[in-house]
Amino acid sequence: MFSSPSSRRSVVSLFVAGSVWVPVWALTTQPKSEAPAVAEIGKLAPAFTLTSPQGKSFSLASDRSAKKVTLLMFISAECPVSNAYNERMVKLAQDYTPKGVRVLGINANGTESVEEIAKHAKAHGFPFPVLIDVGNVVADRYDAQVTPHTYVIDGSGILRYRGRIDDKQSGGPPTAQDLRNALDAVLAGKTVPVTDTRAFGCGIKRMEKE
Amino acid sequence: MRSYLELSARQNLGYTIKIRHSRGGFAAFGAALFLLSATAVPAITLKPINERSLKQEIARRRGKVVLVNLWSKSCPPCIASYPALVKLGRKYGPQGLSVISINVIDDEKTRAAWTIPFLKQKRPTFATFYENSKDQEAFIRSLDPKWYGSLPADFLYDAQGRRVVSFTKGVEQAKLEKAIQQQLARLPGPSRRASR
Repeated sequence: MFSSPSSRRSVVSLFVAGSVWVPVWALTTQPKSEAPAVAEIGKLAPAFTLTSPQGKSFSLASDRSAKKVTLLMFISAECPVSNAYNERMVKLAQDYTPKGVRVLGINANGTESVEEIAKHAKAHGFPFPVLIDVGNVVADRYDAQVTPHTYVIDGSGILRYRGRIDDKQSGGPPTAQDLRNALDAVLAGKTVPVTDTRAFGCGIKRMEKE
Repeated sequence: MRSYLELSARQNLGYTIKIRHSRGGFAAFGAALFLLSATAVPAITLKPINERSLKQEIARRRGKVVLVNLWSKSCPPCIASYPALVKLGRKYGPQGLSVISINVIDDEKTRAAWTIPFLKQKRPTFATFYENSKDQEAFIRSLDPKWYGSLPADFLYDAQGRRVVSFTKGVEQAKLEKAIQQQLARLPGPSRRASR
């Protein structure tokens, strides 16, 4: 059937293409039966594995087994609101990584290139990896809408907080440190005072899906 | 005695028209009035608005289709799509669309230095506000409980003041215009109210 050299080349090409794409798909979507289709406060956070621009994989599932608190921050390299938080995000990572929190940035904007994201992270000295959410698969599962949009997941994998970093998008001293309050509460084994907050920011530029 | 008839259009057009009172003065005055009526836009002001006054603004437009638009200098797609919003206002205003455009995030200094000059340049014919709520979260939730504040954002209300659709996932100009047309088609007849 595939006797001609050109047919063989086509089959080999298809196989090679498949071997590249299947792992990418598998890496970006790992639905876990007990987690809801879209993240909910008080329920198991959707599992995922994403890669950094440097090709390193980071998995939420492995964090669960490590019993680590995880902070996810959906960010953008281009959004002025997200960029207004760059220094504050660095400080968050510096303050909470020593306390055992794993900090992960996620960029789900389809309009921003891997090179741009890597360059931006380096330029701002992010001490946390910025993972690429191809096709905004993870953003969809978390219903992440805006940048910055943050999530706190406790050591058991339960989503404890969703929302803003604080109440000052354009700088100045914030009056509500919602994210820090949530992290402090989770680390202390206490109830998070405010679990769901919102603030104006740039919409995540999603890939159009059928 | 030499006299001048001065039509101050500073607020609307940014210049002043002076016409010497003479034999042809009344004709010139008429021409000036015609020019003003053809080109004048409402003065650009940004009025404060919060979740309570927004509700009132929507309620007082009962009988019209209402589009609430939220935008900011900090949102490049909002700036890029603003001329299209102005066009929507001009195109569908006479058919019964009333636009409420709300500037958010920009502080007082930014509004004075950038936002108002930008609006003067774009010349919207609809009402323009800035968000001034004590609780930004309450304001966001009041527009749509499922919305987390992403910009740009557009919310369309029917003639009874009920929110019928939210556009919060980026610029969706074609979908927005189609939704406006659908709501306008449900109006009983051509609205005779002013577009503001």
